[in-house]
Amino acid sequence: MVPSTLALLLVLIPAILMALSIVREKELGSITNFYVTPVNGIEFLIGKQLPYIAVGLVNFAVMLLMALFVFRVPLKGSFPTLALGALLYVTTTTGYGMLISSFTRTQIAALFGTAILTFVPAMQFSGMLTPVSSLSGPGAIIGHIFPMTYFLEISVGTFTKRLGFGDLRVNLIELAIFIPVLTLMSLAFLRKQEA
Amino acid sequence: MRRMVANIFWLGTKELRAFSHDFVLVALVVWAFSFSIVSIARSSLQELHDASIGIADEDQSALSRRISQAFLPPYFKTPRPIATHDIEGLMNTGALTFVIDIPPNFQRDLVGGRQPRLQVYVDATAMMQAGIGAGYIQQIISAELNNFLSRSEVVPRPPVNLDVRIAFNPNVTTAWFTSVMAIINDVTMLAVILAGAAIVREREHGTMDHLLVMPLTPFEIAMSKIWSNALVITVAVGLSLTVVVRGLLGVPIAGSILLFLAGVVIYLFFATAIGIFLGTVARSMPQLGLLYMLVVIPMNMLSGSNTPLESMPPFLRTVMQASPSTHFVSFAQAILYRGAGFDTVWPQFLAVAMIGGLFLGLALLRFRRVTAQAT
Repeated sequence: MVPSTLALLLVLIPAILMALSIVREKELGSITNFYVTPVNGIEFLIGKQLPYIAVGLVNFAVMLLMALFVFRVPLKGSFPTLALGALLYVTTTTGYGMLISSFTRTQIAALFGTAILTFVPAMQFSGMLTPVSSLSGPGAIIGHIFPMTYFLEISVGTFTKRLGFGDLRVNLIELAIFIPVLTLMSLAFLRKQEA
Repeated sequence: MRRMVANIFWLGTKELRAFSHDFVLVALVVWAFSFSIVSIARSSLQELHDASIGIADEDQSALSRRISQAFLPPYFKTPRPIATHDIEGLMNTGALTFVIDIPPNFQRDLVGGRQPRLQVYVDATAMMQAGIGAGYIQQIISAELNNFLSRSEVVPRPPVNLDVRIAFNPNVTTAWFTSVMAIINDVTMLAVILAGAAIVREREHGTMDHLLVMPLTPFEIAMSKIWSNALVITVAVGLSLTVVVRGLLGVPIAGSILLFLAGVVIYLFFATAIGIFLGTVARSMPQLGLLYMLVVIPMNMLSGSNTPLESMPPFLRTVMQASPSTHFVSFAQAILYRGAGFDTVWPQFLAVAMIGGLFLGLALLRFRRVTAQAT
């Protein structure tokens, strides 16, 4: 349960903080400041994202230490793989928050939207309780396009199954694919609103 | 008094207008109470469904083939024949949740009465399935073995015939359970967010000061936010229960929906009070978001809507009695599944109302203090 809770919190917290940080600027109007500067959309998004990736990684470090020393769950597999996975994962989940922020206008909508759009897939469809391969219907589709599914295997694999880089290479690549896709989608939505 | 009621009413309509103007928010609420519920109900979460199983058949006898053929959908996927040396790799990647290893000469040893060993590997990281599935596999294999042996020798009949009758949900369909529990989780989530965000928004925009210079008391401001947000959620729950759960998913509802909605209204007083309380603690929306997760995740996960309260440690069980979400889940199950009337559920209603009232008082107290500081 500890490795999967790690994955759960690393999607909830970064996504909510990221989504709010962008929508906040929209709601309070300070985003207009950016429109008049020569900063373009992608610079704005990535600049916003970087600090939250850092926050997410600190978050990861604290939870890792808690898992090891408070809950005494041994890390049997490769630590570099887990750390690399966490970096990719946090980048992806902040990207997920960014995507949600790009189509919401108010902070309430962004907060509730991120909560509902991450909580339900994370708890139900990402393999935390039931393996994704046994899901059927809409749940199976959501499970396959939700980043936590892929990080959960990395987290559970390195903690309990003694897996290393070789076993989890595919998962790492799959996580990495999310990053450009999410960024480009957010950019597309953001552009539409500027026009 | 009349003036106070009128103030609360008109302020509440302002909240409703703000809500209905936010199209994305309205769309998200609709999504939460329709598609989200359907997707949870239709995904066969808690039962053994399409479990992946592999069989390393080193015996290749009639018996070992019969065992492989005994694992049928919808419980299991078609068993995948694998080699012994692949077992570890396939279990590691999570490709297979269960593996059965049938040793060489299994049938011969069985017939010869040498008690051969059959190995079953279970991936315990697939938490829900591991336990249920291991039980199913044991039953299936022993049934096959009994069948096989009964042709060659006389197997003694079991001394007792177990006669199992399942009440309230004869086919143990999990959709009946998960759909309603999903609504309950949504109610808690939405109530806390809407009320909390309504407060934080006013503070961030500075419109709270506008309200305070008007001849209004903090009590009126808080009550207006409670009734308007509670109304939105009650309507959403009513529609979701009748249209989505009963209509679309075909879940039979045993008790009175009106009685349940009355319970929802009582519960909402508590949940929105928590929202207002958090709204007074948080100074910005991101703070509210983080506080929200600290409060709502345990309230939802430990309320008995995901796992039964009885299987939690005694300490946690006692603590969760103080959370109205626990009583909410318990009366919701009583009314909707077992058709309980008011005479059965009134203790839970009372518990929710009392804890809710207490929290509302606390929230108001804090609200008064915070707004007094602001002026």
